[in-house]
Amino acid sequence: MYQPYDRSRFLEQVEALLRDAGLSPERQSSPSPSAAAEQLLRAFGVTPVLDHVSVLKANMDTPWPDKDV
Amino acid sequence: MKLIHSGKVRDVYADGDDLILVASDRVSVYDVVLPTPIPDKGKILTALSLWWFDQLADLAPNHLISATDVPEEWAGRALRCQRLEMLPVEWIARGYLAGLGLKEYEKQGTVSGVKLPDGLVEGSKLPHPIFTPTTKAVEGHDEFITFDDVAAQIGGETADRLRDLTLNIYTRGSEIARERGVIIADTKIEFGRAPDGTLVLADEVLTSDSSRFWPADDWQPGRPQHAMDKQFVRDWSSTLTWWDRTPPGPEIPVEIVEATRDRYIDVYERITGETWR
Repeated sequence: MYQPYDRSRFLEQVEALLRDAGLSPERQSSPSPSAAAEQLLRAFGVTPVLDHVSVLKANMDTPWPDKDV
Repeated sequence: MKLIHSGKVRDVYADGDDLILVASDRVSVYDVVLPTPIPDKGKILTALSLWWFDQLADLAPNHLISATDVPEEWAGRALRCQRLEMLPVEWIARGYLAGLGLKEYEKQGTVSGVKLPDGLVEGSKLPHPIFTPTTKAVEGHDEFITFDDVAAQIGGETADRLRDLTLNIYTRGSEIARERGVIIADTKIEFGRAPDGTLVLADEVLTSDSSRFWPADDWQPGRPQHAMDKQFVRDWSSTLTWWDRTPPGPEIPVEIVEATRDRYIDVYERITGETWR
């Protein structure tokens, strides 16, 4: 069964959960929070996806050839 | 119609469930938007995108709903598109060695786990196009991942299909362009899922914002290659010793504007075989 869930939303919700528990979560460069979120979603049988607009924003702000240097 | 985001050279609006992508005449150099527009640039790039969508229609459905059902003020440079759920992978195909692909090869002889022959240099043509996916990072840099990583992320069947589709789109596009004097060295493609689950080609495809275009008659491995369209602006701006490459950017002289516009038209006409109106 295809069960999509937004990766960015999931990360924000996990951060909120940790803050509610009295912690101070800080995103690290390694391990990548995005990759970790995707892995956890997959572990629940959920497909990580991204919001279309957030992808367009990133593409519009930095065209790919400027990123791939 | 609601403005959602104004990017460096394109804007995105929401119109109900649809998205409207509007290409402007703005041009950026060193990540700085210059104050002088390049007339017709938005229309030329939109026309090129539409032409490619048409050429690739038998390979994959795309997110385009209409190029005409857009507000009059954006006629010719706006696309009404379907809103999708995007896959968190950068789908990249490379036929030549450049950019991060070159850096990765110089470090370890592979790109995204694909072993390449020894002795390649900057700009070398690869023995065959390769699939070199990366993560789609929200923060920090995208990182190379292997095909197996992609398969673990989205499922083997979908990964197989989209890898093949990425390579097929690149191969068809680069062959068409090469016959007309343009090298498409590499390209990044976006895929998403429509509400019914269909895999759909999204955003722009085979444009200079998603690919490296090099003039074939100037291609020479072993040195940086020249970008086909923005090179006039880049060369001119590199002579401005007083500009520290931070905003605000300098006004572009009329002759550079005209030469740059001619380059965009040249790329369009070469690739499509059609005369710019």
